Amino acid sequence: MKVESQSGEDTRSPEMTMDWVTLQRPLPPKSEGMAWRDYLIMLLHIGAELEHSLMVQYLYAAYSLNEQTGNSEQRRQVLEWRNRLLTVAKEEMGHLLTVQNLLCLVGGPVCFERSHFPADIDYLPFPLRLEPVSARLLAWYVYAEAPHDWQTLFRDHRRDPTGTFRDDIRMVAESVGDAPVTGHAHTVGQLYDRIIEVLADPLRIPDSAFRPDTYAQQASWDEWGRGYRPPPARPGETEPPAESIAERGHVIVQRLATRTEALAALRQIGKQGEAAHLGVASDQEPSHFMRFVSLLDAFRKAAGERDMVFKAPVNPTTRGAAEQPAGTTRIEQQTSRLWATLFNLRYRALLAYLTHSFRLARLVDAREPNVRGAVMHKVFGEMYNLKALAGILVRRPLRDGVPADAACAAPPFEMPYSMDLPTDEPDCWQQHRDILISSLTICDTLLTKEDPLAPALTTDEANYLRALRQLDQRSVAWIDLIKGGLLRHGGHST
Amino acid sequence: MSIKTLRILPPIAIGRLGSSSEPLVAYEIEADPEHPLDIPRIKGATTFRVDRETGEIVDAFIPEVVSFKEVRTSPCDTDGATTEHIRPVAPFLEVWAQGEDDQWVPLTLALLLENGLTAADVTWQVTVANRKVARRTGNPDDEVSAQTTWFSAHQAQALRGHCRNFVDAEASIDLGQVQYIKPTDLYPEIRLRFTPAPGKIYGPRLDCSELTAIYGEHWQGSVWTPPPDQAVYDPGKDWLQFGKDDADAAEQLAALQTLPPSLYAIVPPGPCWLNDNIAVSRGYLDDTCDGVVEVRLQQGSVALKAAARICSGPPAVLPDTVFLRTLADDLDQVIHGPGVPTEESEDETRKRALDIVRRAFDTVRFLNVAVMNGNPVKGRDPLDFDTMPAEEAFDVFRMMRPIVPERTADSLMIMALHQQVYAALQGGAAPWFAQALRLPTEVGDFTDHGRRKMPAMMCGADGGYLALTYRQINAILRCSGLPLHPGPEVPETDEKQRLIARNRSAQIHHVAAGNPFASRPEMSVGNCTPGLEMDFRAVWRRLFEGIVLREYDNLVMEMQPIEGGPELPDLIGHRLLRVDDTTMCTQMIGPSPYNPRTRTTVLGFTGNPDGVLPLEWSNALARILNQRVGQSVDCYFTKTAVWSNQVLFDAADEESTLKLSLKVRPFFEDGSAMISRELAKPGELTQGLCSPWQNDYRECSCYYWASARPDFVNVKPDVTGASEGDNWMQKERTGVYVPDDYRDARLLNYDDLFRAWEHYLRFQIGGIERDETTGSPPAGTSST
Repeated sequence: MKVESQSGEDTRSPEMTMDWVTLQRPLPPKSEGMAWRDYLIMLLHIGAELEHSLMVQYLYAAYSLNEQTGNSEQRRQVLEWRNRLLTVAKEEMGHLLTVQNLLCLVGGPVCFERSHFPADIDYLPFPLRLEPVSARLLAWYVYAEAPHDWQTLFRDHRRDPTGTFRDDIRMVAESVGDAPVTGHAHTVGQLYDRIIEVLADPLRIPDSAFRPDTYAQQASWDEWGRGYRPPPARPGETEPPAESIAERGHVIVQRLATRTEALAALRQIGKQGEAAHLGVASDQEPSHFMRFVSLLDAFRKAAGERDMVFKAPVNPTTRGAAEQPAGTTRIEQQTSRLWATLFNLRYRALLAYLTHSFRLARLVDAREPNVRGAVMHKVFGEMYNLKALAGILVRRPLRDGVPADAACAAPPFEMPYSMDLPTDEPDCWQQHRDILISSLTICDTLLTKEDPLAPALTTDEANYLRALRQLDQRSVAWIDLIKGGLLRHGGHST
Repeated sequence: MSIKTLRILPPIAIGRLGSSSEPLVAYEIEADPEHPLDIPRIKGATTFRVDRETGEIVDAFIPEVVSFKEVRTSPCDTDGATTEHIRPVAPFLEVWAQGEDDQWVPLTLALLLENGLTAADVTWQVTVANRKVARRTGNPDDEVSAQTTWFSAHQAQALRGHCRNFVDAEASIDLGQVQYIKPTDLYPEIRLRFTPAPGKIYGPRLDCSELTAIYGEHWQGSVWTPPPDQAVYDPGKDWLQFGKDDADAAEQLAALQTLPPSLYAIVPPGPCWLNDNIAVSRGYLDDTCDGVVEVRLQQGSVALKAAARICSGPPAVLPDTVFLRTLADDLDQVIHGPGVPTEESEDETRKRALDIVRRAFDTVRFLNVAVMNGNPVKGRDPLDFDTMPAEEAFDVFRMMRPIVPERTADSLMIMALHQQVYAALQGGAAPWFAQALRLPTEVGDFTDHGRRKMPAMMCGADGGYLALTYRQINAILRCSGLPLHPGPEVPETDEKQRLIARNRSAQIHHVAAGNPFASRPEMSVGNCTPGLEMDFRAVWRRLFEGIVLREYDNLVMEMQPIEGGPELPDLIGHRLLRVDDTTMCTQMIGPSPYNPRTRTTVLGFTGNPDGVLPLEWSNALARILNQRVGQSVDCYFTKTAVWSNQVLFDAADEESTLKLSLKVRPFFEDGSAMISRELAKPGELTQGLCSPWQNDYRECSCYYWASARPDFVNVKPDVTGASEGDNWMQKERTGVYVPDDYRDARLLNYDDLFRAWEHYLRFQIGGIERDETTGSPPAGTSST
């Protein structure tokens, strides 16, 4: 793949720049002899990976925004931008869970895997990377979520900018700068179009392929939505109250029992992503595409007034110099790297709990509060950890001798060596325990070991570590209790 | 320094009942920085030992152990039987003086001397009352009151509560005592001490046959009756058997007074709502009270005066845990307004936001979330248990459903989640959950969307779901960068107003030497339905000159002529619907039966077809109090008397409302933080509470005040991953929670509490059932 350098604002080395819309990236075809159901599952895995990757990218972008500079109104504005990105990320999480439900419905394994960043694998529609917010990045997001016809218009503009084009096209084009656009890129929507096409065909996916009995084991909005959807309509009305949901969000987590429900869910996800921009945009629920357009617009208008973005690296990594992957930026400062390792651990914990929650749905009584409920809550607890740790990392230096406001560390979101859960339940819990023990070790180190080259531990950081340590100690004791029960009873008590 | 003005600090002090002769030592609570998620530690603070005879402080010490209960073994008792006596909280009230330079200093012997005065020139008068019975019967002769003469002696002054409806003029209730502490060279400050009563229950004087006639043949094995020295009420008067005659007009009128109406000890079976709503009073009273302490300093022809309020209530059985919304929060909102003061630093706002989250998980700790959520309990119908979802079903016919999915409703899980939020906030994350907070106007939203807002599962003063104060909500919104509520920005106050607010705040939060933390407004619950220490709703009744409202909603109960003011039409039985542009009600809505997720329906019923829910005053009037004290406001009433019928305000329908201009009374007196005597007279702050208060501990489920009247104790995780523990009200601690259906014999009944509340109401210290701070478990243990 050809790599070209970007426009001047980029602070990365030329080797790390990427042409972000360039090559033909066709969706993978069904190979000879492959069953259609199997192919569908493969596409769903791609979809899951895509949603996961998008979510992480948006999170990274959100955490790169600096809400501490400027006056109170400016800070409020940056917080609002961050909330918008986080809202989109939450909605991607909803998509991810709905895709898992669809996998359950067709009898496929759940998938929380994701390629390491930078990810430029053939069947992914575009390269994925962790990058701080910029106009160019937001323009990229616009493009990634755009409907196909919008993309066509955009490429027409690139070929001949003198034509008559909509303001949003021009805005994105200006933000993109000189990056060439030479081919087609498949957007999120196009992947789902293919999935829908396969799923809708009973000759390819017969009714017998569906597992409606998994319904109760699937993720539900009640469990995972956390209130993120429009309120119900007032009595006598049919639409929810007219208020912006740009911050509230609408997390779609659909449980699925039938082909019809599955198709409807996929269309809803697709619509949330792109929406018919040529039609009248709904004020009630702007699509991700529209939200990125308005965010880009606001960001461009505010840009230059002050430094709204932390000097975060592209694709940060905790790997050593000898094993550092291409296209990544090493977090060199030792203490910052410890914090980043802690972040990775909590990310791993989140994914492990999430995966486990689907397994536990088959092992315990779905109606009672038990380990499954506890594990679901722990997923959210880890999200809060990621939030806190990201905020700490962007205030820590990337390397020794360079202050954080010149080059800061950032949340690496590195994937663990494996997402596989052990086969047996006690081993599963042991894995959770191991992660917590690792976290405890790092917490203790951060609290006690002095690093003369790092900024001193702040009060907030110390308070956080102590609280986290206490939570982890309790969790370890709790896991020991669960494991003890498993060994005694030969399975989960319900 | 000359003395210009006096104050008594704190302006409101809470005494707590107990029969031990030794009051509780002073203590503070503090978080353990190494174990920030643990319940704050109780730490002994400077405690005064007072000689009862002379009134002098003979010693000041810092106790190593804080013991909440005294266990006595009678020397004559050979079988080792013991009696338990809770240590009362006996707060001190200090006198402070302001000089010409406007500085405030403690009034001391030296300062008196400097002004040619002595301790004997300081005189006190204390007036207290218990109006619980009078509130229900509507008969002023049922008021129990006590007033000292003006005194400067240092002997304890008994507060003997007399009542015209007692058996004779000699009969009385011991409402406690006050003592002017004799200042000495070592302890020269001028102070008074209030020692509350021991927590006895009083009742009618009845003989055996009369008791049999009321309670049946076998009453002696089950019904507790007051001993002779506590049988003071005339059985021929209204209180005994009150509620027997539904057709009695006086009883009907009286029944309008309080919410819930039958908060008193009733002839079994109880509770009344499980027994055809029959609530016939046993005629019991308790020895709580509230009132006013006044001090006077005669300087020649000028008498300087100051006043403060006191009240007595039940012991703080969780002395280290602060409820999510307290009296202090409501008072802070009165002082500062509903917004965030512009001069408040971001750090200070953030601390307040953190504190709210802290209190949230400390409260959840004692709530059996699975049961309170409306889960079936081991297969039993959740309608059998007292929860908010059950209340919704009974009161407004909302279909009974759990609030959150059953499988996620567990105490330790939810507590851990809250603690995780707290940890993240401590790490510097901005609150991301602000929009999940319930606004005060949303308390009637019984859809899942509304019920799942925070705080969850708890009841507010209006009977809807609990909302924090606007001031609390706005602290979190400010930290999140979101717009504040309510609506249009509150105009900036000028420097003088800000100074007054700061002074008042300092007064409310003043820590008097020798006072336990449990004596402070932070330890009094704020969602008064009706409350435990006081029914704060009582202060709103007379906020508008000329009318007296019912404290729990917008019904006008009395007219009070305004001296020199306009004559108002008779508004008795009318409802106050709106003040300026603030509506005083909301509408109760629930999920539509045919599309519960996206459609709603009004939860209306006979007498209330529009599903109107009057809002609790503290939040509804927050902006009015902040901006319009002393001014006239537009008040919109129903055109006619509607009494029990609820009415929705319709701005377009002028014909159905009556608009009048009424003046807003000051909430505080002068520049002090003493709640104005114009708003509440002695006895009125506690009159809405249960009679006796022990009855309320039986009847009120923990979804009112889990951190003051706990539910789930000795909680630990079990092998299923969920929580197990005991019901605080179960007689025997087995580790298996007994859900409260009000009938289960494994649970305490009313008479158990009347008989031996000091034994049965167990303290929880550091989350462990124990009576003192020694023997604490290793820090950082317990829970998931």
